[in-house]
Amino acid sequence: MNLGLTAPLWLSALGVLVPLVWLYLRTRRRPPAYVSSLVLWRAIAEPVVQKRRPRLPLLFFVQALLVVAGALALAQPFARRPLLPGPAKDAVLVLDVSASMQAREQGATRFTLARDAARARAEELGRAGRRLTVIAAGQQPQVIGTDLDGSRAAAAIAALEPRDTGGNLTAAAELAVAQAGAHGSIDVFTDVAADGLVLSRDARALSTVHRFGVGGANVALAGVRVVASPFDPPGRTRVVVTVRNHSTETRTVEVRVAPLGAARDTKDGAVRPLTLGPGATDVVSIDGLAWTGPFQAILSPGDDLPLDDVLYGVLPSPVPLRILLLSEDEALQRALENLARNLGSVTLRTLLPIQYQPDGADGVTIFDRFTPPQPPPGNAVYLAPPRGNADVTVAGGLLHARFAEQREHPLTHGLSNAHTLLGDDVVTLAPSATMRPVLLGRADGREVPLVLAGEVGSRRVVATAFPLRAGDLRSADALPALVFTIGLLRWLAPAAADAPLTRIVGERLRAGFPDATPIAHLEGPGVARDLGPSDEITLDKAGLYTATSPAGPRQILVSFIDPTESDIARPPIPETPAAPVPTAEPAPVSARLWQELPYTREVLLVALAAMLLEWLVVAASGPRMRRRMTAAPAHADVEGAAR
Amino acid sequence: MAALRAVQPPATAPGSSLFEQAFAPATLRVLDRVRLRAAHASGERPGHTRVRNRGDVSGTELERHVAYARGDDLRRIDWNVYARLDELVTRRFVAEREVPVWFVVDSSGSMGPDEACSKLDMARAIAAILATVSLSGGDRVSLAAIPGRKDAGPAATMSHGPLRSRRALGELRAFLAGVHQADGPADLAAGLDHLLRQTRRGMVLLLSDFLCDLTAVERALDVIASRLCEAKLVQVLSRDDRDPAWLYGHDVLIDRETGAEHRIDPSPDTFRRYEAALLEHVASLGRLAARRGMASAVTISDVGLLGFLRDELPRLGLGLVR
Repeated sequence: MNLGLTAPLWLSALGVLVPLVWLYLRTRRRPPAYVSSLVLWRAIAEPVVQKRRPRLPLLFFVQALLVVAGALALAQPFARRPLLPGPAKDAVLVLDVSASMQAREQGATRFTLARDAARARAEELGRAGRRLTVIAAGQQPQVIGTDLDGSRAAAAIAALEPRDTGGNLTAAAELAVAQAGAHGSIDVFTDVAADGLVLSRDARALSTVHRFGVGGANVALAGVRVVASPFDPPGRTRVVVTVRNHSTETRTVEVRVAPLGAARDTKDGAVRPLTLGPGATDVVSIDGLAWTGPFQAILSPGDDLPLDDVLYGVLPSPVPLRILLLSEDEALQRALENLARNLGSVTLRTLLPIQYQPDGADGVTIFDRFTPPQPPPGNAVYLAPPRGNADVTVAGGLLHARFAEQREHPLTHGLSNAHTLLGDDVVTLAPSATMRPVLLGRADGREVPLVLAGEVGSRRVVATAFPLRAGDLRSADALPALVFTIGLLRWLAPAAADAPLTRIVGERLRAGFPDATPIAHLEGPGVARDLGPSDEITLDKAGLYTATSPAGPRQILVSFIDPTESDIARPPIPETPAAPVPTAEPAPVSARLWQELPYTREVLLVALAAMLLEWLVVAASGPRMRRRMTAAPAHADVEGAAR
Repeated sequence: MAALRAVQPPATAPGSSLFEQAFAPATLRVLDRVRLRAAHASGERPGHTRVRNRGDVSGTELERHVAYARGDDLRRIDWNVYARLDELVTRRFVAEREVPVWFVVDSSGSMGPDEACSKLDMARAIAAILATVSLSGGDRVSLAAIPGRKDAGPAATMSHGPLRSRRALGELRAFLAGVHQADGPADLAAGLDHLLRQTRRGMVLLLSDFLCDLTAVERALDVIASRLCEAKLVQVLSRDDRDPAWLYGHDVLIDRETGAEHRIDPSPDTFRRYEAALLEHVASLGRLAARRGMASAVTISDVGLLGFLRDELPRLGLGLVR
């Protein structure tokens, strides 16, 4: 740290000290004073030494301090400290890397156009002496580089690639404001009009928006759903594809569902033609697929945004479902065994609760009014569980409840008249962060969950506040109990251990599969890295990933589904003047490398304190004498002495 | 004193001489109604001052009876008492005599400077008003000034009188107006010895600042006592004598009487010690006077005549009565 003065010429004000010293010394050399008699003066002290060193009073030093502090304050002192490594608060370039920037535009993509413009702008600002910060505006804004010169900033921008996620330009602009400071500038390169951006007042004041992209005709695959039952043969599996036309014209397209790995123009799989009006959404249901395993839904012909023309899914392989029932209710055992026989490909094993041993061989374990000492390794159902359950919180004993609400969930698909599931009394379950209510009832004037479902760790768990009644399962008239039970088993039926996982772009992937096998290595579009046990990674590119775990490799199918990004239609760009290059002279190098801390206020406080001290000194000396001369009767003590 | 308080004295004009104020008609009207009362001083000639405890005087107002002692005048034996009580007692009468009063003003260099409201001005004014009262009471008034020793010693002592009756006020005023500050220090003992060489049982009012060696003051008091005179000491100090704050910044002091220089450290501590020494000096003067049965008072020159009359005169034992 070194010190300096902004206006050192003001130090010449210290010359006031010279006359101040002279005045005090002159005061000391006053002419002799004539007194009536020296008798008393001689009696009190010996004569002082003739050549005595002049002694200045405290008041002189206080006034000298006041003068010095005042001169220093006028000179505006500051201390310079080295700047800590950090972003340069100067020009910031924000490049939109969201999925919509991949739209084709004039033989290139919007992103390519924006990136080229950003590079040119970076070099232009660099030539003006500005220091640059580059921010990529993806789902989360990311600072690519700070304190860059023009060429380095251009290189950093050239290395950017678009991502298959949405973009948060608001967050990116706020980050840019923080980087730019009050006097910086922000250039935003995006396909969103400035009016469509949600920016703070500060960000809008600093920002210049460079827009790219006009028009844009796009038809997108907006969703894919596989409707499969573990109890059905493979040929009965259906694939439901949602298609949306984002263009302003009627479009006729084809949706092809083909095994993964087939060429885009493959003749394999099933094809459904579809005609969509402007802005229309339609659903295509494809069944009769004779194969299982991963597939891709492909939209053709191509359009301005190829990214959303492909989706991925998995046709599950038929896996025999092994069920373990722990119940003392023999009627229920028989009813479920009968149901299992009718469902086919289901194996039911029954045990008494006291015979229970945790065993990972069973896909689903049903606990009938019984709480195991420890949860099973697989999926589980708890029917009217007593207290002490590790998976589900049981808040109270039995109470009379009535049905109130049924929420959308795979468990409740096709379920009606759910109130017939309830018996006389139900146990009081407590929802948690993982266990959400599916069916709700009311008891004693408050809402109580009747069915909770969720994923605890990597297992699916369902808890019902009521037990299954064997009579309901045997009676064809008690349809709600059958539908609920079958839905229960369908949702809990585990997928094949090596079945590919399906994910949506932008999701966070933890280093663990649902069966808790850790991912050691991940490879996919734009990524190839090892993962630690606690690592998470954002899947920001659509496509096929391969996750390697100790159990072997496994595929992850990442689809792009984002209606906002798929809507790439943009109005014409109004004529706007070119963004000016900031004409302000670049800050001197010293100002960029050093931080100047002004101390004028502190010195002024010292001056103020000196002034107060001066008043105190004067009040403690001068006024004391004046008080003696005016306030008290001056001769009173003399008269007292005379008496 | 009640009379003094009841009658408003003339206001003191700022910068006006206290001595001139003493002769203002309003002041004279106030003084016309008061009398000087001596403790034991008396002269031989009849006057208006009532004198007690003088067994050798005759009169008309019986003071008291005292037991007869050998040598008493047989003419003063009260035979009526002897007839009734079979005891010899003599009658004592209250005498009315003129009192020879000396007003002695120290006009040495230390009483200066010779200007309004100075110590010398205050001393002349006090002498003027008390002398006026004495003249009104039929006393014999003598005035004197003891100048500095440089002015040819005791021989240079100025005196005037005796004066009798208020018709002599003009002379009194003229003499006191002619008293000015001298250069050197005064020798009070020598001056008083010269003035009182023919005076017995009188009253001496000595007005000075007494800022000198107390042995010199002691010698002067011995001279007064040797003449059987009743003495009243009025110590007149100035504001500058009392409060040395004005000396801040002055480290060289010059004695106005002798011209001697003295270097000091003009610090609050020095001034505090000076004030303590002054108080001790005043107290010592009071003890000197008290040992000789003399009264003393001290006044500051700027308190004015009213302040002196109201506050200091009773302390001198100079009772002012209607």
